[in-house]
Amino acid sequence: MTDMDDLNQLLGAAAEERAVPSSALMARIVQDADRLQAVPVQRPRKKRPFAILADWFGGGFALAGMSVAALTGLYLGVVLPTPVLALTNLVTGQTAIDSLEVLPATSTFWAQE
Amino acid sequence: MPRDALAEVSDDTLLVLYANGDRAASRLLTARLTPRIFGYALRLLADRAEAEDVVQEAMLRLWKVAPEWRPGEAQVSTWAYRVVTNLCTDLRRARMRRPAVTLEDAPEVADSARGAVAGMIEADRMAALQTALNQLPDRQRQAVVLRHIEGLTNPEIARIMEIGIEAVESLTARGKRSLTAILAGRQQELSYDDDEEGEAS
Repeated sequence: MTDMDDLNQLLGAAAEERAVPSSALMARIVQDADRLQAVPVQRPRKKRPFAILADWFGGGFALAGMSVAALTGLYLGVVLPTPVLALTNLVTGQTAIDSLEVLPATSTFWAQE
Repeated sequence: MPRDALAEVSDDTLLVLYANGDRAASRLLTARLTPRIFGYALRLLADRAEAEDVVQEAMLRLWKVAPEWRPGEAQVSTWAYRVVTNLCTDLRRARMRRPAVTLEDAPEVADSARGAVAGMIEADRMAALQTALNQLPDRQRQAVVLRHIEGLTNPEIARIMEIGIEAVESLTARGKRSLTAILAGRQQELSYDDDEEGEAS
């Protein structure tokens, strides 16, 4: 038998001998796999325009409060309810209040015709 | 997906499944690939601890590339062998100044049902082969181990080593000639002729 035949037999025997990786190594590899496995990323939800506006004013409650205050002020200024007039008279001591008619009554327009 | 259902699935698909969050896929891929690349790394390095480190690093890189893996472009096993080859080359270069590996450093060979004496003789043969392999230049050793111990084809080895098929053939041929020369002085103790004669008588 030649040297090469011996070598081929030796290599053949080596191919049959399978080195077994330790269970600790297998466990480490699986651990790495779990650690690196992609976690589904939660995309931030797109904010609606109202939410962006609310954020500007310090949140939804703040925006609601300011809206109510603005509407109340507009109501008091335009309608001038009697209880409010009486209260202002009491506080300021005046009996007459200068008032500016922002929106003329429709009868004004008819009178001009 | 249950592990039984994955048994017939290709390595490529398993890697894609892993990238999509399937844990069973990573376990099956580990069980398939690790023994192969570990045996290869052990042959190249002749050091169990270093081979384990290399294999863990190679598998770590595999998990990292999983999200970008494009099925069909390359075989997962080829990719893993290539990474192990490169890591082993780097490691061997880094330890060039360390003392040469001796017979005692050769990997342990599992004892089988054969007799204790036969087992010891076989272990000596394997140790001698390992010592001879360690004396080969890196590329020759890689080619010989991949071709004759891992049983890969020349085109597969060419892809792993990123060289031509002719270069693989040349490397394995030169590697075997060198091994024969290295082992020539120990032919008497390594020859299988005595075993065959013993079994015949």
